[in-house]
Amino acid sequence: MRYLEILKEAKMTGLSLLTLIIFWLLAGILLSGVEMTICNIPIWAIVGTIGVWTMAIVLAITLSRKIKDVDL
Amino acid sequence: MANLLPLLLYMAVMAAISFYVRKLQQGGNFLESYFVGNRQLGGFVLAMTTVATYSSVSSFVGGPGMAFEVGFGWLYMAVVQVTAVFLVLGIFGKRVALLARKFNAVTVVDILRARYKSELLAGFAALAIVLFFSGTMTAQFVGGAKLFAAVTGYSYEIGLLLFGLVVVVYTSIGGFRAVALTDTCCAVMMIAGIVILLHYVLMAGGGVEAILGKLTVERPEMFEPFSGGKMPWTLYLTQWLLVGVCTIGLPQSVVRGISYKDTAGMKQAIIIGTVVIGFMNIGINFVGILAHGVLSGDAAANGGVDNVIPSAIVAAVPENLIGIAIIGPLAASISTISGLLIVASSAVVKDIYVHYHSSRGRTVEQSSMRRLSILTTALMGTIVFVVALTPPSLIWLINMFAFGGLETAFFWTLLLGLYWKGANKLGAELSMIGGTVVYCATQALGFKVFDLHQITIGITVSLLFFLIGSYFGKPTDEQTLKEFF
Repeated sequence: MRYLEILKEAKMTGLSLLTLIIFWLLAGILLSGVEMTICNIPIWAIVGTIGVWTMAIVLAITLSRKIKDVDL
Repeated sequence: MANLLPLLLYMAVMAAISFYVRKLQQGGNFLESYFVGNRQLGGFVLAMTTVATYSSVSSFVGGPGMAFEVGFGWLYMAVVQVTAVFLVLGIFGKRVALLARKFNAVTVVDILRARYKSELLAGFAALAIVLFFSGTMTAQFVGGAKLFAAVTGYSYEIGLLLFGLVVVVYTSIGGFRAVALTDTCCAVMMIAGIVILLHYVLMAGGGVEAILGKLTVERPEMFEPFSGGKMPWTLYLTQWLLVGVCTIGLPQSVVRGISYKDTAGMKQAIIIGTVVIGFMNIGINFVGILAHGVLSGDAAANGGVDNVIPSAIVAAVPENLIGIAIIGPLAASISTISGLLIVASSAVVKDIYVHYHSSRGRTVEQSSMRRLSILTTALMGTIVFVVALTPPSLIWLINMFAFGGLETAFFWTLLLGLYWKGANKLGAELSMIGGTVVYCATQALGFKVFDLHQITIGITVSLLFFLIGSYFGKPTDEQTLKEFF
């Protein structure tokens, strides 16, 4: 039972990685044609860096909430 | 000399922590205490030690130097490293912690030995750790000492003596617990270093808008994802593998899973680690781009990619603060050295020496283990230190070569071994040994596929070997499967 729970958590981690890769790709590809800038920084670069970092933090928080506490 | 005082003080604090930890750790099981800190790390320290060991001097020097040359494409690529903490702790954190307690494992090799029952695999794994870690540690010594010389004007040898010897001494004396605590200090200093550098580069350059406004006109390709061809898709793919996905196979990261106290701490570390590693990677590489505000010309005009950050420190930071500003990059160097040194030492002492004796029914006394562990750590550190005194050329290539080699050797043997019942001894042996040999051969021959880094070949070949070996090899015995699954 404990192994199955850990396996599920590992799969969730893999899914988080996949989500982040898709977000990263979309930020770079979809937004690279957008002319908008903030402080002369192109919007794709902002979403592709700070956006990806923020997304990673959200995923890390979600993941840590889903992982169950166990006695080691 | 006065501007070196902060650095001298910092190194003295690192040494003091080590002596204090040693005093605290008297008694109990020495191996557990020395190599995994009695499995007592809390969430904050676990996060910081994982980040600090992962973030090397090249994160602070080579990477931002490339950002200076390439632009936002490099920053976009560097951000993939935000995955490094949540991936390794999410996939292996709890699994490895439970298995380590079940088998009384102190090292990653202990877990591999219990899973595959292969002395050949365990021996090769220990050898791979020692060899590849030695390459990485040499690169850290050389990178740190060169940075020191470029910024302070003192000689390379003085830099190496100043921080190199101290890191070897404090790691040898304090063991893993001291490494974790000093790593935490290092990570804090890295963050402070980035903030200081960012502040002074922005001040000297006239602010973000002014620096980037000028760059938009002079170097418009720096604002494109592919950077006018300097950032091909193959490089992005390679980096996702090398510093993203495959980092879960790095033994120095996986061993952190053996060392923490409880799962609440691990969950805390997942969040803190992701926040910190993201800040560091984005922050320091952004400084690399902004360095155009204080340096003129391209990287070559400033002495090459590795000289961009040292030159930016000299150009932007007031002289009386240089001693503080340099601590951040040097902290990246020493935290990686200490993290690797203690794992390399455990590979020799625990995985080879102690196992050799215990497999023959002989017990190694605690006092002997204590002496041997401290001596081995000191000796290995000294050997790498001596090699760094006459730095080999192409040192950064050696660093990346070692990184890819470790990932090739450990990625599938750990991932499939801990999550696939069908993984067996032959598959793991073929994967680790065959994959590593093929990876090293392609590196030596300069052979590439689609111009991708050889990690792509290494990781693919080691997977194929694993599957072939697992298909033809003898299935794992029921007892082992019961223990692991």
